[in-house]
Amino acid sequence: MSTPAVMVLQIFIIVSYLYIICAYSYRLIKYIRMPVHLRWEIYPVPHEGSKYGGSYFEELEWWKKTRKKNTIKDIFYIIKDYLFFVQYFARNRKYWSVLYPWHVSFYLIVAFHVFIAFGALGLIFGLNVSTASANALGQALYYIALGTGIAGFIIGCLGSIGMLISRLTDADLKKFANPRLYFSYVFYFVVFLSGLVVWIVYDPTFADYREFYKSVATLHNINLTPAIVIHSVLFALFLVYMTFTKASHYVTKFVIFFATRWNDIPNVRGSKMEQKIQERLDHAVSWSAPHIQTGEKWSEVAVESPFSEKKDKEK
Amino acid sequence: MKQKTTEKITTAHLGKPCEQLVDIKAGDLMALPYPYDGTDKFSTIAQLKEEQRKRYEASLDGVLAVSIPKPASPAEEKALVDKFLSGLSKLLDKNDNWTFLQPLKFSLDYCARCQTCNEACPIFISSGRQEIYRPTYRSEVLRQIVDKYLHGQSKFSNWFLGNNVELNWTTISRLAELSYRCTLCRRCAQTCPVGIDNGLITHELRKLFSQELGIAAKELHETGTMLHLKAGSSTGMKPSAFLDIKKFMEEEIEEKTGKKIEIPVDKKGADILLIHNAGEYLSWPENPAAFAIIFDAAGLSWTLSSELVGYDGVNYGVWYDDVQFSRVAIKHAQIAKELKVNRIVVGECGHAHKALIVIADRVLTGDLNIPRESCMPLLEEIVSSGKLKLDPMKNNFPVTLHDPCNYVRLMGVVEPQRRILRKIAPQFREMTPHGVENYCCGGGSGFAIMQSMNFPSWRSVISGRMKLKQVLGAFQDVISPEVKKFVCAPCSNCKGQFRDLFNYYNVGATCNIDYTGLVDLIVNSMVDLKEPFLEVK
Repeated sequence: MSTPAVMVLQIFIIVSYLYIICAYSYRLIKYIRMPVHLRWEIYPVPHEGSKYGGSYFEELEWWKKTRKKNTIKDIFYIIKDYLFFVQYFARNRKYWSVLYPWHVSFYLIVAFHVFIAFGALGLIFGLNVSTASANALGQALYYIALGTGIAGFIIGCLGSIGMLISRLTDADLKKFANPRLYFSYVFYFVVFLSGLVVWIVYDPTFADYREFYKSVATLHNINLTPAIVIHSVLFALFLVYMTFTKASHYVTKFVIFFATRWNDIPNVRGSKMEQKIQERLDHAVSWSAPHIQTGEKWSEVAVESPFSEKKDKEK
Repeated sequence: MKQKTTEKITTAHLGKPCEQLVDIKAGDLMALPYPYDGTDKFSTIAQLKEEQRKRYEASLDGVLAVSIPKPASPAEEKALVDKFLSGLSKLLDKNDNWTFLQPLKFSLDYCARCQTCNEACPIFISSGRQEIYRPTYRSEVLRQIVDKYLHGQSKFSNWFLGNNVELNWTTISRLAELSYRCTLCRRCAQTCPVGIDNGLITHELRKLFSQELGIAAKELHETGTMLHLKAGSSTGMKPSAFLDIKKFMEEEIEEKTGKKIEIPVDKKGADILLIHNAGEYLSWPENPAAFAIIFDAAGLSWTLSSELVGYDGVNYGVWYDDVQFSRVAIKHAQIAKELKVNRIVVGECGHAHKALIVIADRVLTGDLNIPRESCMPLLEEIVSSGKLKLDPMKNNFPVTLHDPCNYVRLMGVVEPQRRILRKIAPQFREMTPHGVENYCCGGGSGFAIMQSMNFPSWRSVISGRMKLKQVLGAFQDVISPEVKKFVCAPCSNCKGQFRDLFNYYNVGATCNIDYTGLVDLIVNSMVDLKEPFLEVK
């Protein structure tokens, strides 16, 4: 069994990981469950498959045609953007040159911890995770964790400094910066730096870090160097902190692109969409300008004359 | 005291009283190409009269679009602040604002403050990057107000999050004006890598002011949707006047083309109900006349409506008020239902396209959900079918195409109008950029019809500047006034903006550039026309 101090650390790590999953899921569900809204798409819409941004509205009597919707194109667009920040590259190259590596370092540090966790699982099941492993999986887990860790820590340190410098030197960026942003850059830098210190000074193969993760999974005691404790705590805090920042756009961006920007689903009579709209039209309106009959249903207000007497059924 | 340098302005300044927050000088503005290069002649925004300044809140940029009277007492100031806050909470309520809650919440919550969108904004760029016109500026102000005054953050949190806007009468009245310094072209939203829509935030701000405080640009509300619903048209045109104009158009058609056409009105069971922007009947009757010539020649079963609201396809609600928007859209659908038509076709009016075909799609349910489409694919079908005998050489002059934001970027109708022009206009050339990346004419979101105070001057100097640059750019090789040139602007409001813009810059005399609709060019190329439909001198 772990000593109380180690156990507190292990539980903290587990809780923080569970927290981030719950927090992101909550945000995602919250956005998905918001009411259906009016159409507000912007072209080009990838699933329309038009090179110039055309839509099905270019077809005569479009409602009589079968819709050719290629969702793969939407998904491909999103993946490409997540992987390479294509939009930033095309429209804001200077910022991309700092922002992109910084974000890549996020991918890498998360990937590093995932592969360390898989490696730890391997250790539990008797897999040798090292260069000397006879098993290809053991070697792969070793090398991928090593590669993602080293690259992530180095790029993350440079990226965080780069972002800080960008915000401080670019007049437009500086104007819209706030203390939280600066705090974030410094905090992320410390997180990446702590990992770098672990690798350079204490654990060049991340074997100890993997052992620590094994102990987290099994809740067994382990002797830890302070550097590993510091990095694992900072990384857990980093995950928790992200949920309080705008970084959740990673998850919610997916929703907004599909639900608004590319949402060109026509409302067909008797469809689910029509049913959803009808539900919204049945709710009362509390807007109080003179031309709105406060307290009546949306469907009533929308057909009533703006000149009719205001009934003020305010709730 | 006037704020001297725009660079120093931050969101905090919006609530700090001063004579005028921004003073735009001619030298600040984006340069124009030949023959408008090197001159500041057309670059000065008209000054308000002293009496107007005294009466209305004009301390944002010395321009009035909404014209909020200055408060008479501190109680009046407080009432405005309270009402704004109550409206703001309704804006974030799923029942009051189901219409746009999801994209609004996202846009408020997740802006990464990367400022990528700024370069996409024609107003920000044309104005010489005036801080207050930055697409992110008004959004950031609203975001801070939500955070600070609705979420009730602590003093530390407000400092940590940079919430430095003070909510007072000055902030709100300037914010109301500021919501009418964006044409809702949504180029910024198209550019945003994260999916933030600053255009939507502007739209929602206008909505808050209208639906809760009863504050809106007069031309959009009082003489816009209210007049539309009362008199039948935002132009004030009554059904009898519409029928007179219809008769006039028939006479004009006969005189110009030798064709005797009876324009069908209120024809029950017709295939198509054609809806025009009523501004066409008054300002450019040749446009609906050209539609009549084409539809007649193509042998279509169609009709116009003489019902109140039915002969005016505009829906100004789309720019500022969801309730008014729904009222007009439902009226259009009810008229189509009563006429028992198979479909509604929207004429050359961009916002009418977007309003009735796209946005109203989630307002019209049951038997009001009548198929609706753009006139562009229909016109393309007619031109391609060979039903009209066309001679492109009749249009042998330089023509460029303006893409109305509302049905190009925001609806994806991009190519039909181009395919037509390639067939009928041998000297057709594109602007840069074009298609879904076009620039707004500068009259979008109602600006083209807003004529009060010194707003038209601001519109010509600032919001239309980028479009003028594009037009001049497209015709640089034939810029001499000896060559007649046309901007094909298949949108009534855009045409209104081109009319004002070209008059302001004296483009006709200087460069011999005119504007016209697409159907006008089609009819001009018809072989069996007695005389040219367009004046080409």
